[in-house]
Amino acid sequence: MITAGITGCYMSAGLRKRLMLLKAVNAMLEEISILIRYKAATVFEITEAIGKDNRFSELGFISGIKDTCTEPSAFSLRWEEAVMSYNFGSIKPQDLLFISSIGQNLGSSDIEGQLSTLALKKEELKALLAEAESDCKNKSKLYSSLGILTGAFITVLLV
Amino acid sequence: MDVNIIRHFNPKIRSILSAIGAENCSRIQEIRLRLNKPLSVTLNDAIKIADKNGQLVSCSDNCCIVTEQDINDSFNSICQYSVHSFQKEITGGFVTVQGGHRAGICGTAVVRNGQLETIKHISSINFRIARQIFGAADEIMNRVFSAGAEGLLIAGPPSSGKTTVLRDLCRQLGKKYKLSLIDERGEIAAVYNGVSQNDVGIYTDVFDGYCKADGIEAAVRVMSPNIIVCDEIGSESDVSAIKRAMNCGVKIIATVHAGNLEELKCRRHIMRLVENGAFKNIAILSGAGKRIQTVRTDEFDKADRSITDNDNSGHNRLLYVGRS
Repeated sequence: MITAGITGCYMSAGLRKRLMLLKAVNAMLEEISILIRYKAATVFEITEAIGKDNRFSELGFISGIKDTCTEPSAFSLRWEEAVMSYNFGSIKPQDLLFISSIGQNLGSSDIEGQLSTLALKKEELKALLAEAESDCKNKSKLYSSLGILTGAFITVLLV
Repeated sequence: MDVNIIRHFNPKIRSILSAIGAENCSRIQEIRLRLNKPLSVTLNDAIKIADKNGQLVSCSDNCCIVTEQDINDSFNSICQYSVHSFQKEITGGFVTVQGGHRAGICGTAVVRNGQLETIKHISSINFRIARQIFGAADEIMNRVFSAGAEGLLIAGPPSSGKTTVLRDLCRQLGKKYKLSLIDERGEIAAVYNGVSQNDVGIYTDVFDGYCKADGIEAAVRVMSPNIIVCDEIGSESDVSAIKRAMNCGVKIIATVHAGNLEELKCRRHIMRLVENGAFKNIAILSGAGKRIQTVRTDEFDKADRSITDNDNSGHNRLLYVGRS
């Protein structure tokens, strides 16, 4: 019973964690826009600033993207590698693809172009956020309750 | 080769440059990438082709042909994969990289409303290797600044060494006076991520990328300099800003394009400054900085005759006309 209850709570926590992650991504897109608009920050200045900011602790993959003195390789590849190799915990495939796609166009156009692309990304994120919030609201309690009930049912059967 | 240069090339080009002997490396002035053409370097003013073994030759069947990918890799590296951060530099034609080296860029211009907006299809990148020459301004320091800070105008044709001398002047004067350096094109201090890559003096404040008029106004307003230094003055706005600074008691050191005194006298904006007392001294460089002639501006008429006489001497020497 306890196991089933814990499983239910774990799934419920997973929904909340996904929501927090997507909110952190939203805040990150806003922060990137600010850094580009007011400082014309380079992509590595952006990753360094975000990596050090406690608000983005869920996005630990960013700390791994650094400007090193090795052979030139596209920033978008480094971003994608960092995203794919990071353990986000509970994350849906579409969330992973979205986070990976953020690095595709970073640094490849002028300031106006960058800000437009980031605004577009925020719009795309809205749909994922809405879904995550809905799941959290509707399914969170359901998972917890189902877990406990399932556990009770199994206990009764065994007894 | 300096790691700050070599890191901006992909492995193919890097391996060739790494194979160049140390003695030749120290004499390389430029490295050029030209699309679909051989990788070339300028060595002691001579152009050489780098072959695949790192040998520098005049022509070769075994030369390394630069591809579009080679150029794109270098361009992205120079811009730190952040084109948006280097818009101004790209339209200006060059980016300063760590170490003070400059990567000149050319390609197809994208023009909007009659102004160059950006460059596409980059066809050439020219890495100019920076080497600060300490002591380039020693003669001028001795002749002009031995008794204290004074205004100085340095004139010369292109590639006569004006910027090199100006940089060394900053370094030497910046040990004694509060200097404000208005480095509009980033050539003097070569600031990279906020840090001057060249030694321009410990008491020097660098206004990197500021247009001269704005930089001079800001310097006078907030930095209380003893001396303001700027490169290549010429426009009406430059002249107005310098006049205002001069009226605040600040000495001005500047450079201007002019091959000789006669050419300088044709620059009316500049002559107005001279007549108003902004520059007590004029130094004229010629022959890649080998000959420096200084003139006190209150001795202009005598200077014409004396300089003409000495032009035929054929000696590399400093001529000082007027009161010592």
